[in-house]
Amino acid sequence: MSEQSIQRDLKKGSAELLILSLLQAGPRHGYEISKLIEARSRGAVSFRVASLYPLLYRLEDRGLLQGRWVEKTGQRRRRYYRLTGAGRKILIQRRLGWLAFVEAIHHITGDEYA
Amino acid sequence: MPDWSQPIRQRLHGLNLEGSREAEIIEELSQHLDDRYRDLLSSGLSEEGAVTKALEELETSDVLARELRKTRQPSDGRRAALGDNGPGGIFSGFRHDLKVSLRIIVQKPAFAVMVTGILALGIASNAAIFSVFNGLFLRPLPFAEPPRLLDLDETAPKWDLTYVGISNFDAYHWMWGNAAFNGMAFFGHGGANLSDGSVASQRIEAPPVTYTLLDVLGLKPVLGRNILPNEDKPGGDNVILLGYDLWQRLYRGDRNILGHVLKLDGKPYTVVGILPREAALPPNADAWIPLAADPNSSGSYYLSGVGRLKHGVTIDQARADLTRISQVLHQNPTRQ
Repeated sequence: MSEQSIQRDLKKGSAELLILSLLQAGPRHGYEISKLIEARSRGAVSFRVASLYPLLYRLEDRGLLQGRWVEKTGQRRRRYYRLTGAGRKILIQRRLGWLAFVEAIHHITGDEYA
Repeated sequence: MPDWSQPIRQRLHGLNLEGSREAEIIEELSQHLDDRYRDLLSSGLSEEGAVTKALEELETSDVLARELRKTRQPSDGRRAALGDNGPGGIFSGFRHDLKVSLRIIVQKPAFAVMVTGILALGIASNAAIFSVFNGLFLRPLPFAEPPRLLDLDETAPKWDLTYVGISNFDAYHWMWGNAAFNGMAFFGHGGANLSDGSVASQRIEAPPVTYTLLDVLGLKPVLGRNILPNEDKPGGDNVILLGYDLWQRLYRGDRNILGHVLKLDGKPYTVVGILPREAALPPNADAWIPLAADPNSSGSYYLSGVGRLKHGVTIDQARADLTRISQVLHQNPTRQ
């Protein structure tokens, strides 16, 4: 599978899961989220501003994230996103769904199950 | 720093956003482009090249507006959230919440968490404690004396953040300085690519944990030994405890697995023990590796924690104990 098609398929099906997962450990700002996605996927998945922030706003509208402007001394204020209780629950559901999907594909394609 | 507001505003044209909302979006996106621009310069690009590359983040003129149109505020301006009743009335919302909650408890019976209290101090980082309890209708937690186990977290009421995770610095100072707990353990989250000549390469969940986790949960390895304190320090040996299921699935329960070296993300790890089936924390873990964190490094708030209360100590007393430590730490910050 080409890198472009990995990018397209993953982003289409799992963008929400990626963002919720990255916020599980604690609040992060948008640039941090985009860098982490790119770094942890070793460059295979990336989100540009034009798609990342609208997605964050949609997740916020659905009550899964909460954005807050945070001011630190000597720095410009930044908007941090954190998971809400509802977001944590949806994350568990999405993660289980994803694992079930991957396992199902693995059962079909994996050699040891042939 | 280039002024990004004009190209962003152009792309927001036609959305008819409220003035304050538009200003916030421009501020947030401009910061992102500032960061990107700075990184591009650091990578060796010229100023002109970095501007061009950073602006590519905004894509063509209509993409941002098109994506933002998909964002729709509820018609009455309220945020949708768990607990909203929705069109079906109060019982519809209740039924939905109950359904979601039961599904989660059934899927993860060993780790249902009830929030019992949150500290409300006006400092940046505080202790929050939750009692770990079991789903009443399900099997009991697989740990020794579960009522004494508490889920630990930090909260930042100043920023209105209920859960922020725990930093290395706070975790270790809680662990060393508390008087309310028999033991505390902390763990992160993380997957790795497991490769081993004898089995198919695969992605596993191998969260880093403190060597104290097994003791805090009241568990023992079914084979081999626990992580040693010296291995749970920066620069310590790379060792791994395999989860029971992973051991059975990949190595067919081979009891000669101890001392075997496998690779996680290309790094060699020596198998020193097998976890019992009851090791249900961290959730979904296939294996444990040492946290080996630097206690003096604050870093990000990425850890989860669990503590075992001393006999006779109440949650309120434990909360007061951790509050005391947090206050001392934040009055005398020595972190990096």
